[in-house]
Amino acid sequence: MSIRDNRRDQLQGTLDLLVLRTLSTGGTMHGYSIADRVEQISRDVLRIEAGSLYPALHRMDEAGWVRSEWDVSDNNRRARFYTITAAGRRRLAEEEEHWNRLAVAVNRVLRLA
Amino acid sequence: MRAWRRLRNLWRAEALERDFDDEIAFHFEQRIARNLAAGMTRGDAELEARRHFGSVVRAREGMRQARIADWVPAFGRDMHVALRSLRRQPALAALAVLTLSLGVGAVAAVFALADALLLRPLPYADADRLVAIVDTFRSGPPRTTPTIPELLDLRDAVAGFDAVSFVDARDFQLGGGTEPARVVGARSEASFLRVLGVVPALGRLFSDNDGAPGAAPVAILTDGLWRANFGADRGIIGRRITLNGQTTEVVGVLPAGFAFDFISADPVSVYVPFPMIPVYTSRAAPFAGVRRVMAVGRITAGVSYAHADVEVRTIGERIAAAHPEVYRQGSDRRDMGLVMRAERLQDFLFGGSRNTMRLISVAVALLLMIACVNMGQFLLAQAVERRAELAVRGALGATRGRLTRQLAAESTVLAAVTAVTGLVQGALLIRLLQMQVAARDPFVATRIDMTAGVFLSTIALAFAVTLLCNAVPLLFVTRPLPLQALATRDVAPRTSGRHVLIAAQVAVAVTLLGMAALLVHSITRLESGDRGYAIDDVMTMRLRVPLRVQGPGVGVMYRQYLEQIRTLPDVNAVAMADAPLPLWPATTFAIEGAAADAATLSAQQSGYCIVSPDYFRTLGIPLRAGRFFTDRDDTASPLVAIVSEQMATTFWPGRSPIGRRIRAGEGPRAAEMTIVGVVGNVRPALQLEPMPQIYVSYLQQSEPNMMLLIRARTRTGLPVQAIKRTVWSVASDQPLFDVRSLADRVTSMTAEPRRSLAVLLGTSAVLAVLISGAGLFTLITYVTVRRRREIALRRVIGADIGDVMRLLTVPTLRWTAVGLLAGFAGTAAGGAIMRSTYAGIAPDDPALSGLVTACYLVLALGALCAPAVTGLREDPAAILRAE
Repeated sequence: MSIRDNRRDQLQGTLDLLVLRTLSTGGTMHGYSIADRVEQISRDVLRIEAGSLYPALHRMDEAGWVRSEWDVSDNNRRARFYTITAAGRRRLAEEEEHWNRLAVAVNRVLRLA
Repeated sequence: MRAWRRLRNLWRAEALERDFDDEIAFHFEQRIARNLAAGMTRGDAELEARRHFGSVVRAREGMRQARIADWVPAFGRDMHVALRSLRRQPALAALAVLTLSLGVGAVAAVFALADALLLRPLPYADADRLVAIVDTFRSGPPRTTPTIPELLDLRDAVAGFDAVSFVDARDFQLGGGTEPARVVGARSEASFLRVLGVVPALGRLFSDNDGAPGAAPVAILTDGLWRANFGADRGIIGRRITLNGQTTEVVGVLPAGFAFDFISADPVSVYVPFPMIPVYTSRAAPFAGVRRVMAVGRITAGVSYAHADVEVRTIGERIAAAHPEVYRQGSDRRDMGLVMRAERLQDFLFGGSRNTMRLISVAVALLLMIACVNMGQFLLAQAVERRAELAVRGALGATRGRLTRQLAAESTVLAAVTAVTGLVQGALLIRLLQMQVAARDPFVATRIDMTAGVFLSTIALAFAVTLLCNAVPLLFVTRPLPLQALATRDVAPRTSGRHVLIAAQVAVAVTLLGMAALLVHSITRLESGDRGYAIDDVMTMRLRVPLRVQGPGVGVMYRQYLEQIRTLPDVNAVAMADAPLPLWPATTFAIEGAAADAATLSAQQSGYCIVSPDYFRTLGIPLRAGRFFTDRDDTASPLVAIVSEQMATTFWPGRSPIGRRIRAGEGPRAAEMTIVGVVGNVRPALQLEPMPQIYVSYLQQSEPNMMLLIRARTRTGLPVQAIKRTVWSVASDQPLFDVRSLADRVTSMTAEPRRSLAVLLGTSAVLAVLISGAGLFTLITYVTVRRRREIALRRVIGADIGDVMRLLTVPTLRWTAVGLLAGFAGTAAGGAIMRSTYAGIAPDDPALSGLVTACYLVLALGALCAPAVTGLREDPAAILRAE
C-alpha cells in the first residue's frame, strides 16, 4: 500500500475505527460521551478533537454506518444519539483488520530495520 | 441514493445547520459542566471547552460537506456568471441564440414531418408486417398497383405471407335522409380488415362467403357514419340500409379512430365486400387488366421485407411467363418486363414524399449550418474579449479545470436557452406545417406533432450544436497564454478564416433564396398566362348516375339534366365531362396507317376527356377546324373524336387531321374513331409545354361518374340548391356532391402540391437570409469593436468617415461577393435538381437571379454598415484617452 496516497484516508480511517469501536461496545451514545470514552480508555493519550468528531459522525451517518436520532440525555437535555448499524459493524471489522495489518507491518519494520 | 439525499438536503441546509448547532451546544454544555465540576471558574471552563473543541466553523463546514451536495451551488454560481457574461452584449447574444434556435426549430419541424410520414408506425396492429404489393415494368407504364387476377395468383402461390388482400373505393348512394347521400364506400376483399388487425366495435368483420357470387349484400359502417347517419344506434346490427338501391344488412361497426383513407380523395364511410365475380377475377374478362385496387399483405412474423420481396418477384416472373397475351404489347409483342414487388406499406403510401423530404432536409441542414456559423462567430468574438479576464482569473489561481467548468456552464446556459427557444419556434413551425398539410392530407396532418421523440431530439440537437459551436472558442480560450494575454489587449485572431465562413453563409442564403424564387416564379407561370380555357366563374359538382340507370339510358339521363339546367336564368352554359380537363396523360393512342410498335405507342400519350357538346363553349376553348360534338354523336352514329391543336400540328404537320382515324382509350374504351374537329390547346397540369389531348362524345362513351360544369351568367355565382332541385326534377335519387369552383379544383391538382413546397422552401430562404444578415452584422460589430483604438487613432490623424467605412467593410464585402457568386452556382444546381424532381419548374432566369442578388445586397449592406456607423459615432479622442 502506498502510504502517501492514503494519508488522508488513514487518519480518517483511524477516527472512524475509534468511533465505531466505541459505539459497538457502548451502545447508543451522544457525541460528547463518545469523545469522553475514547479519552478515558486511551488514558488521555488519544484526544479526539470535537471539531473533527462531529463531521466524522455526520459523514458516517450519511454512509449508513451509524444511525442518529434526537433523544433526551441523562440530565434531561435534548441530544443527538448515535447507534452503530450492521453496515457499521462490517465496516468496523474491515477497519480493525486493516489496522492490525498496519500495526504488524509497522512493528516488523521497527524490529528489523 | 446517497447522492439524491445529498441533493435533497440542499433545500434543508438551514435546518441541518440549526440541528448541528444544537448538537454542538449540548457538547459545550457537557464540557463546561465537567470543567465546573472539576473546580474551574465559569470563564475558564468556557475557555477550556472552546479550546478543546477546536474550530466550530470548520466543523460546520465538515458537516455541510458530509451532508449536502456542494456541486450544485457551485454550478449555480457558474450559471450566474454565465448569464452575466451573456448580458454584456445582449443584442449579439440574442441574435446568436435566436438564429441558432431558428435553425433548431426548423430541424424540429422536419423531424416531426419525417416522424409522421416515415418513422412512426401506421395505426394498425403489427403495422411493421404490412406490405403493399406493387407492379413495376422494365418498359411500359410506371409503378402501379396489381390487377386482381395477379393478386389471386400471388395469394395461391405465396408462402411468406399470412394474407394478401385488396381494396378499392367507390361512390355509393345511401338511401333515406334529407337528400340522396353520396358516401365513399370501400369494396374490401373479405380478409382486408382482418389484415389490418381491426377489431369491430359492434358486430363482425366480413367472412370469406360475404363477397362470393350470390351472397346476400352486407356492409360494415365506420364509426363516423354510424354516429352521423344512424345516431350511434347500438342496435344497428342486422338493420337494413339501402346502398346503391340495394337492400343491405349492416353486420358490423368499426371502432372510432380506425381509418384507411388512402384509396379515395374523401374519407371512407362504409365497407362492403369486394364482389368476387368473374368480371373482376377472371383473366379473360374485359375488365381484368384494370389496375383498380390497392393490395395489402401481411407478412408472416419473422419473415423479412427483403425475403417477402424476393418471393413476390419470383411469383411475378412466373405469372408474366404464364400469360404472354397480357404482358407482351404492341405490334412487335415486346415483353413489358413485369416486376411484382412487396414494399413496406408505409413506404408505399408516403414514399412519394421522399424527394420533397430530401429537398427540405437539405434546405434545413444548410439553414442550421449557417446558424451554427453565426453562433460560432459570436462565441469566438466573446472568447476573444474574455481572454484577458480568464487570464487574470488564471493568474489568481483558478485551475484550468475550474475555468473550463465556468465555460462549460456558459455553454450550458446558451444550450438551454437555445433549446427552449428552438422548441417554441419548432412548435410554431410544426403548426404551420400542419396547416399546410391539412388541406391535402388530413391523415398526415394529424400525425404531424411535437411528439416525445421530436421533443427530445430537438433538445439533444440544441445541446449538440451549441456545444459544437463552443468547441473552437473553448480551445482558443483555455490555451494557456496568461502573461501574453495580459500584456497586450490585441489578442484577437485574424479574421480571414471567418470571412470564408461568411462567404459560405451568403452562398447558402442566396442559393435558398434563388431556389425559392424559382419555385414561386414557376408556380406563378403555371397559374397565370393563357391556360387555353377560361377558369373563372365556372362551378363544378360531381354526380354518379343511379345504378338503376344502365346502358344508353345513362346518356339520355345526362342529356335531360343538361337541358333542364340550361333553362335556369343564372346559367350561361352547362356541360358534362368525366374529368374537369384533360390535364394528365390518360391514354395511349395509335394513328391509322402509322407505326404501332411498343416504343412508338409509349411515346404517344395524350389527355382523354369524355365531354358533352357544350363543354368547349362552357370552358371557352376555341374551335380551330372542323366541328364540335353534337347530340347526334351517339351510339347510333360512327365514333368521333376532337383533338387539340398541338396534337394536330405534331402528327399531321401541314395537313388537316379532319377525317383521319385514331385508336385511343384504355381497356374496354379502346376504340377506333374519326377526328371531326380541332380545338385550342389546354395547358396541362404541372408542365408548361402543351400535350396531345383527345375528346370523345359523352353519348358514345358511357361513364357513370361525371362532373357538371356550369358557367354563371353573372359574377355573383350560382344557386347550388336550384341546380340540385332541377336535377332532382329529372331523377329524385340523383346525388350531387363535391361542389367546388373550377379554379379551386384545378389549383388543387396543379399548384397546391408545389405551393406547400414553396412555402417551406421560402420559409427556409427567409430564415437563411435573416441568419446570414445577422452573421454579417455580428462580424462587422466584432471587427469594429476590435479595431476601435486603431480606428480612433486613424480618425484623430485625419481619416474621414468614408475611409474608415471602407477599411471596415471592404474585405467583408469582397467575401460577400464571393458568396454571391457561389450562390448563383448553388441556385443553378438547385434548379437542376428541382427540374429533375418536379414537373413544371421554369428554366433559370437571369433577371430573377439579378433580382435576388439585388435584394440580398441591400440587406447585406444594411447589416454591414449599421454597426460600423454606430462605432463611428463615438468620439475618437475619448476612446484613445480611455484606453
